[in-house]
Amino acid sequence: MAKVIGIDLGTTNSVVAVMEGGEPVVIPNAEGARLTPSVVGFSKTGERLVGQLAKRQAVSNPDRQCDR
Amino acid sequence: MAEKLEQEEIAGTTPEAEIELPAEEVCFQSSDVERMLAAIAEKNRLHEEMADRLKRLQADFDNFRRRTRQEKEELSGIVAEEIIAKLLPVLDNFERALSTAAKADAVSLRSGVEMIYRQLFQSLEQLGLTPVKAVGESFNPQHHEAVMRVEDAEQTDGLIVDELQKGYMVRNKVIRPSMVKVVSNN
Repeated sequence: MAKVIGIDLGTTNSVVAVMEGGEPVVIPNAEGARLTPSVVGFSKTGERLVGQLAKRQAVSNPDRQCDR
Repeated sequence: MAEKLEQEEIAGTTPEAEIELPAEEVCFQSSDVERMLAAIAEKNRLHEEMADRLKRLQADFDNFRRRTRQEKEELSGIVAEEIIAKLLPVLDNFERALSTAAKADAVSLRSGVEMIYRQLFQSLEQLGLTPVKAVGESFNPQHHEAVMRVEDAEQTDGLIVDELQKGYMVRNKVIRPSMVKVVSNN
């Protein structure tokens, strides 16, 4: 049976949850956080960064960043 | 004659045959009817058994979820207690230092504070703390957070030149990234 997933793609943060046994359960991201900042960036080496990692390089790499 | 007819009917239509309502009545033998009714009854029984099992499983799962949530809350409390207990000696030493502060001179007060700092750092190391390496390293968003950038053609792009706030890892997971100044040449 397919799983039902809910995505809240917010202006500042995003959340993902899955229906488990009749209740929604929030899925933590790779860093273990339940909220992910809605930011995407590309590092100088071309690596794609998402969320908190992208935010941390925003000041040093502003031209290759997207948020909101 | 009737039996022959029914054999053809029961054998079923071939896939290519058109679906037509038979002109004659369809007759089944009573033994076939009994067999089919028994099969239906068995399927019904199985269905009820499954439905019952599903209800019990759902209830089990709800209980399990509630119990796991309780255990998680209790566990975080227990972990906090252990950590605080390990840091109490540092608190004791601070109180001792402060009680003699009025009489102590600046030099001995400073060395006292240094000793307490080392003791606190050692206690945290035992709990798994490691500082994040920053100055001289290449910028890594997993360990560092850029708060300032500087253009310097003589230095490699992405080099960290200054640390504004120390970052820390616990068991190799970054709990606070290091706030750094990065070389950024465009």
